[in-house]
Amino acid sequence: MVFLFNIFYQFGDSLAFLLLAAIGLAVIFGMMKIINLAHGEFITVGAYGTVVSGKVFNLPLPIAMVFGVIITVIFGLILEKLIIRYLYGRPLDSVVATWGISLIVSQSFLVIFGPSYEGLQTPMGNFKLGEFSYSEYRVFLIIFALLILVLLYYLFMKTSFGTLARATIENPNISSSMGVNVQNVYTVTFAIGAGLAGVTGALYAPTMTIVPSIGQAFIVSSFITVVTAGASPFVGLVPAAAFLGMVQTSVTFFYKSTIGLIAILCAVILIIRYLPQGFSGLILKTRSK
Amino acid sequence: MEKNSLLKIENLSSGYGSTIIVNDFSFEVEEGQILSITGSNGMGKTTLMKSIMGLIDARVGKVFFKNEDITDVSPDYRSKLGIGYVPQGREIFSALTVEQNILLPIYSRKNLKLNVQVKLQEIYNLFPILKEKKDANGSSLSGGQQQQLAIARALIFDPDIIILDEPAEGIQPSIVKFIGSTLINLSKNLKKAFIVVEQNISLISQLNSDCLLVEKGKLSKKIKSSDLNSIEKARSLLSLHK
Repeated sequence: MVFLFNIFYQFGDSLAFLLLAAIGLAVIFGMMKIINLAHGEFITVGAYGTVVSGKVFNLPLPIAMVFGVIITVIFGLILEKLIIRYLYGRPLDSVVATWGISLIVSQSFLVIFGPSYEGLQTPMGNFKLGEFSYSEYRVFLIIFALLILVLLYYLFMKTSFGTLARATIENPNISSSMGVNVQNVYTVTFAIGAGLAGVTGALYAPTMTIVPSIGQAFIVSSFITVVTAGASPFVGLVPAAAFLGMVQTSVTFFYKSTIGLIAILCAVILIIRYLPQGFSGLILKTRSK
Repeated sequence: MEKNSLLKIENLSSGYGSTIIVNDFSFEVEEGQILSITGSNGMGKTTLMKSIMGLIDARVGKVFFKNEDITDVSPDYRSKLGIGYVPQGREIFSALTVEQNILLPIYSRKNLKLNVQVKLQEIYNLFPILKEKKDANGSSLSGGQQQQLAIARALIFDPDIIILDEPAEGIQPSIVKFIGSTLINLSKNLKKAFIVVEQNISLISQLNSDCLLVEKGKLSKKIKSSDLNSIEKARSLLSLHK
């Protein structure tokens, strides 16, 4: 029983990390086709926003987290207005521009805050099961990751904004000729993507060492999860994260975490080879039969 | 400009890159009028319609709508002023349901002064098949049903004029006839104006409206509705083989 719970806990932890790492990118890359190499830095802004506002203003953690997310949304909006809006429909150009943004942001954090910043204590406590001790906050992260996905699904699939966003992403010209202000839709969607990256940074800030490269810890996981999810991120994200989480957990359980990471990358190569449309392609194909 | 002129195109030229496709084109449409525009493939009809919608910039000339110069405004602003658009190939959003496709223009308008549910019911009365399929995916509809959906999507926000680009393309004759009679009714009863770009002679003849013939991006002939009231006359005058 304890053994099973242990595996589920590890799997859930890995699933939450992959989902939260990928969720902002799923909106920006999956929906808008902007290859945002600065996604990690958005997470960094969220983490620093949380930690710095928490320390400087002595705020309780949840409020500091909200600050972190708001700062990331503002940061995302400024970048969208100045740079990103000129890159819609230009995926390769977006790689170069966002890579440049990523370098500038991470170096700026290094200059402003130094090589590391005093972190926050992980909230909540621990609970014991058998001889093992588990973090309650990690369990909270698993539930929160799934909750965010449900909210995001509702926003994009069930609301009028979601309808406008999906139409704009499918065909901006025709959407525009139906009265949709395409630029506004892009801006709001990008801000949502940035805000979600901020949420990830804020949530993981109390669990990690706060360094300017904190976002880099998420960037590989975020891209492999989004690529494995395929063209329709809201359909493919959960199965992709679950599959990769399962691979990582099982391999890490029997070997070690480095081998687990290698196993994940091998699994992604196989997925891209045999399911070029990712999990969402497979699901939509099966559904249409 | 004449008092009742709804849309006026004045010496419009437009194209892609360095190529001019539409060349010095002028015409007017009045409230409640149906105007057909025809010509062979590649003559610039679709480019002309996209230029009116603002999807392609005008190089020279002006577009006026209700006496307002709209030459340089965005497509969404033109739509909000009251221009509906049914593009060539229908361009139904495959990611949306039938009802979401219809309601898209409503979602994009904040201060719309109409009862959406009543309007939606009117649309469903006009095209009953869309009510039956309202929860189906837009892309799952047949060509004829998609064309009705594209017209419904253009009608929902109560525009003054609707531009239809080849509505009969790839559609069975009975549905084409139904679309033709629907347009005539809307023009007569609700004073909607239509610009119908079409190569289907039977639809042009059914609409029995004034018709412009486009050749190499230029207006080559204006034909009066009275000369198009039979398919034979229409075919010989328009020199098309459909």
